[in-house]
Amino acid sequence: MTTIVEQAEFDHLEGLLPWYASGMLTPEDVLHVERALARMPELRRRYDLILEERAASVNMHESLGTPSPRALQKLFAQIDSAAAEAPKSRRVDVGRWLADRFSNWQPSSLALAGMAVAFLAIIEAGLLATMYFGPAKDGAMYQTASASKTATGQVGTFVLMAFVPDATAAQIQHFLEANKASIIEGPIAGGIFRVQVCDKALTTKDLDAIVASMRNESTIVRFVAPSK
Amino acid sequence: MDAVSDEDLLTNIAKGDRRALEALYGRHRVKLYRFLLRLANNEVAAEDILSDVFFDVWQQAGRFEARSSVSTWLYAIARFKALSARRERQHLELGPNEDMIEDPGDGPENVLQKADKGKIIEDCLKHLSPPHREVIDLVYYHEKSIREVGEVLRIPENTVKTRMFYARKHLSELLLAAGVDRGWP
Repeated sequence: MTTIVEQAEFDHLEGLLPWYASGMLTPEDVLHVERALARMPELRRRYDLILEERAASVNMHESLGTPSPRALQKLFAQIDSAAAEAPKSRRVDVGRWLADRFSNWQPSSLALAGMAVAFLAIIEAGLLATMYFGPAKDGAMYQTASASKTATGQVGTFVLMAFVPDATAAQIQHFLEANKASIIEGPIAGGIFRVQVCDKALTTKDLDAIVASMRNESTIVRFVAPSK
Repeated sequence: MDAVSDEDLLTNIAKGDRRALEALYGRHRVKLYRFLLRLANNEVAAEDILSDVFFDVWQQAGRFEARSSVSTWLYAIARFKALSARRERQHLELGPNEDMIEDPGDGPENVLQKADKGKIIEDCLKHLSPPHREVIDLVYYHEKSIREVGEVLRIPENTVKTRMFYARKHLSELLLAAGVDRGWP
């Protein structure tokens, strides 16, 4: 006659059998189950049922096929799409940015602020150039005129730029569009903006040409220099 | 045996290594797809969810905390996405989901005609309810331990064992209805 304790042990062991069949028990439980299987015929019979079920489950799954290449293509399309979205979200709509900040300022305040910024910018331009490019070596002002990737992970070619105080938002917007440029950061001290002028790394010569061209726009650009 | 562990691949994926992602995908795609197919009952949906799972891996690899194996983490994401997709589909269709109902086609009474006992068991496995189906699949085919099944299904280990018992009991009842008396339960 089976006691309550024996029945409880049997139920416990039977509960472990599916994982014993899959080889997913701890060594301690494996030993426990194997000893019980050796002395309990009914447990062995139940285990045979589990082996049947497991074999059928494996066969049924094997008939389900495999994913088509479309799944992997979709995955990388999603990744490319997300990567393309990310840089856009970091770009600044300069017209909106300027409008947000200066919409409540009086013209006189703007003029005074502009003069102060202009003065600071002249002093800081030299400091910034040294800070960003380091001391001159072998007569070169900077080691690499353009950077393919910055410390923040941005890819492209960049300049540091400040605008004349009385340049309007519309003029600045027009200037940036004409030069296919985007404000990435700023303003930092001195009203300096970091501006992307190309989404690829340009040569020193090409970057110098862009900087020279921008300097000619003196009615809008107060200061411009290559940036890493 | 793979030289690079899943955990190492995940570390590289967190650094933006696409080849590591492709390697991890290649390693788990078939079993995960079959797991998803049993939950979604639709090849296109299963493939879409599979892509979404690995897109999550691409975005969240750095957040993996190694509390479970990478494989178990993947199954947990896959199951969550499959259930979310099912709920969304139910909401859109404003009606019961066919996935929640046992497959009415080729019912147990008809499978009796099939001579092979293994085939009858396979058919009955397809007629299990989703909760019973997934626990049996995870144990028998995906070879997950009691703890891992609990992590994927988000239930305690004792519940895993109880659910497995009742899933098997229901399977035996379906087999009995199909004319296969196994003398249990």
